[in-house]
Amino acid sequence: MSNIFLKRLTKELRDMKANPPAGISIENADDNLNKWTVKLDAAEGTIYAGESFQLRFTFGNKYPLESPEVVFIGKPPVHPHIYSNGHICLSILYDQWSPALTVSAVCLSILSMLSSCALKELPPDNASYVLRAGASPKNTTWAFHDDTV
Amino acid sequence: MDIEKKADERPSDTEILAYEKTLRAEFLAAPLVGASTGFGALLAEFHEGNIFHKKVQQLSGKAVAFRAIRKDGNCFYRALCFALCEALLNFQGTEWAKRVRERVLDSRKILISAGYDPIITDDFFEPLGEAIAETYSIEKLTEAFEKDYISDTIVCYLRLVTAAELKLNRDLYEAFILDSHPTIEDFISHQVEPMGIESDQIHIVAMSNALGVTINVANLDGSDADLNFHDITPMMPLELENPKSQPVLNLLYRPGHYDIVYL
Repeated sequence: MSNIFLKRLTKELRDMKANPPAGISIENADDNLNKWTVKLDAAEGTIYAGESFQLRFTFGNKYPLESPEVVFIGKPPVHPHIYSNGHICLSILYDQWSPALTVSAVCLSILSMLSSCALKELPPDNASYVLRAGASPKNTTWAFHDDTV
Repeated sequence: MDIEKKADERPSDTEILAYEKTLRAEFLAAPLVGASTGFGALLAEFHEGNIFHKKVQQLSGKAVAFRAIRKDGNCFYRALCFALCEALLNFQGTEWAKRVRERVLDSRKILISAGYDPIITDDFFEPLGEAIAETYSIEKLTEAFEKDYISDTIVCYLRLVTAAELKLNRDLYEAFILDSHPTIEDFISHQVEPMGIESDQIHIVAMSNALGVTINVANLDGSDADLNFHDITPMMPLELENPKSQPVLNLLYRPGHYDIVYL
């Protein structure tokens, strides 16, 4: 395993515990830092106000050069870009991952995706996607067509 | 399933995907940075009589050696950085080497000005910082670039330097991207920061400007002319007493790919 992996995740974990961004808290991180569970509290004044959700981050040994796998566990939010199996259609998690992004930046992106949503509905292709999708959303070929929701 | 196809029929999407997958696997099995060789293998990639074949022949008349870089979408940054580090070793002790090192070290400040968090980006700088050290050797350099973790971290860092250069001097670059992307930021998040995304002229110009180095690209395109060269010189050149004596980093371009050549 590359040393940047541990160095980077150690820094990120310390930083997020010391200065957690609003609505984001680390619930658990494995001793080897491969898997984290992060709690998201939806912002007040949004259609998800009062709800909270759990994200699971899984880091491969090429993190941060490669994106982490990020899925909702438990009950995912009902949102046009979030499938009922927890997979999230968000370009920065796949094709547009940048090694300069962090766990905190990813969480903020997902929170803002929730905040800007006006109607709780599942993605139109939810049923067929969930049937054919593999365990990891990173194996899906995503098409990103709508940045407005 | 065995369906006979007419000669002019387009292959199915599945067939194209399968073919791309085979090609990609082949590309990814090649070394990140190959050994310095002659032009025989490159020449053999093209049929005799083909325009590319003709241009490689022209190139082999002018160049002394060729170094293949893995075709993984990161080739421009990898080729440029290897050529740069190698030139630093060959021009050890010169004013040029000193100034280039300063520029590379200063790039960390440029990243901060562009809004990157040094806590994150300094990790990406480390391997490059080691590779430009005066105590480095060509053996160490080759070894470092062959380790994908080190080699890719350097590529990643240069991508961020390119992004920072584009952001900080957006007036220079915007005109070239606005027909395909709404903002420089959008261009950066699609075409610069992600690993494995190929580079274009604008990336080369940005790298040349950021590092202060002259990049000469042998242009192996399909046009029916003789082999031509694109000389990309920095807008803010290094402050040198004798600018004429500085080395040029020579790359070979063919559609979708960059390698190193030695002229």
